[in-house]
Amino acid sequence: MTNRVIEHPAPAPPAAAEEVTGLAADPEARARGLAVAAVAKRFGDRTIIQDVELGLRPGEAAWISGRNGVGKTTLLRVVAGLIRPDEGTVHLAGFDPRRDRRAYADRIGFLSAGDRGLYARLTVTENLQYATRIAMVPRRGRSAAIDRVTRLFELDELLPRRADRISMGQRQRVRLAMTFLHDPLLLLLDEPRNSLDDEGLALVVAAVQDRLDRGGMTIWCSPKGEPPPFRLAHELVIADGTLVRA
Amino acid sequence: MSAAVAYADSALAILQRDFRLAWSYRFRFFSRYLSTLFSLALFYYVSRMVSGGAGFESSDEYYAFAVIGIIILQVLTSVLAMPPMNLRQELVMGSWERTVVSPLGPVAGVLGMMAFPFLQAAVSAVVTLVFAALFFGIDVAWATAPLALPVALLGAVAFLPFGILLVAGVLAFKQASMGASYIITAISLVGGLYFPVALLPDWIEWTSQVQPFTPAADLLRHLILGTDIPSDPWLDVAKLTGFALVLLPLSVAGLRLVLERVRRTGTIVEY
Repeated sequence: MTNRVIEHPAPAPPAAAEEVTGLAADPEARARGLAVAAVAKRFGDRTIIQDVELGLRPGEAAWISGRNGVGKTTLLRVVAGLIRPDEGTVHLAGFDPRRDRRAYADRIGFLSAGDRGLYARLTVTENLQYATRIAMVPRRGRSAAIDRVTRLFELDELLPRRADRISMGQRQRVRLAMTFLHDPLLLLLDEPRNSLDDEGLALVVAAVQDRLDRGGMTIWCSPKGEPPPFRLAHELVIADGTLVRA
Repeated sequence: MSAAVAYADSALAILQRDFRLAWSYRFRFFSRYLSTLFSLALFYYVSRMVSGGAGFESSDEYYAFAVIGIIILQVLTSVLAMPPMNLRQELVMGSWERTVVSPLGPVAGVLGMMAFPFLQAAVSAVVTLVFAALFFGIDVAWATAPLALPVALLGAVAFLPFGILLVAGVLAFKQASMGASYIITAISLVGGLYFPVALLPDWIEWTSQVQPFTPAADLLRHLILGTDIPSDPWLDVAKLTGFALVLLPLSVAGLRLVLERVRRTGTIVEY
């Protein structure tokens, strides 16, 4: 068990210290997986998350649920390296998101909640091509990467169409394809079901399962009652700012 | 692929993306050249009222002076106003988030965003010059005019730090278009774009010496029109190089500071 859970919502410094010690004792998560230690984030006076501890080993997936606004997105943004925590550390395969920005970003695939992030006036192909290039996929591997996600998310018919001329569910499949393009070690999926029909959900589940089978990791965030239909190492919920077992 | 090649390729990808987006609005793409034509016509008729004053021997001499001002203003508008506007659009569309978490990263992403405005400014400058020569008969010194290209490039690099700081302004304050307007207007005033800086009152004339726009304007007029230059041309080249070498790293450092701050406040993707 790599996941460390704070059982009580109230911040307790000695317990938090214990958790950090506990996490460090799992060399597998720290060296090859994801290690989130004592993370806290505040916006002004408002504490969003605190004392968050999470460890994932290669091949493991976690589902994080919780009410709207409890801090799921904030936690994912911290893990993605998009925002900095006020306290605590995050490491992925031993890399720090600030000190080793490029190496860290190479290993992250982040799907934000909502339906944004596509260039509406570019075709699906152009969006994918652009995404491979800012993901710095080597030139010789780009076509293969695009072919792979096109198959994974069944995008063939959408490729020549402009992003603003496809349905919301189809856009979500394109956004997911962009997240998987560089075959990241850790997938951070914030409400990935958004607008997907059953067929679309099956595609994303198969893609996640494929990555897990090859030693990848996944954090899937969705509302309570919507667990992802694949094997989970950890089922967690954010309550009162802390991560606890669901 | 080495890191430098990978970053260059990503910058090229951003340039291609911005071109495709601009090209997808065909009318807007071409209407800027129509607007250039109107500006040239406007200044042509204004120049008819100028003769024998402020050091100009004829209306045509002033007109040629103003045309170079128009060109520099186009470069300024592209380099200063477009990147902050584009970043704001990226924030609203949610695509900025993808750039920040990508291996390319936000700093290189911002620098890449400067490429298309840069190129667009260069094309605009050439089109303006051709229009001015064809329709309004300005005398271009064709022998030295090609040298204006590297000088314009150097000038644009020297202007770039102001664009980078405005982009940092968008990240910090979410709106910086007014800042760009103020800077462009102020530069038009003190940079000698539409009138010689010698006409400015003494107490403000010094400002024309502490920014890269005046030497760029003087050099471009010298190379494109064959006009006399107030100082040694190489001194102006040295000034532009100096501004670029000093201001560029400073502006990138400023951008990094702002990025770190908005990452800490959690406002990096807010708009």
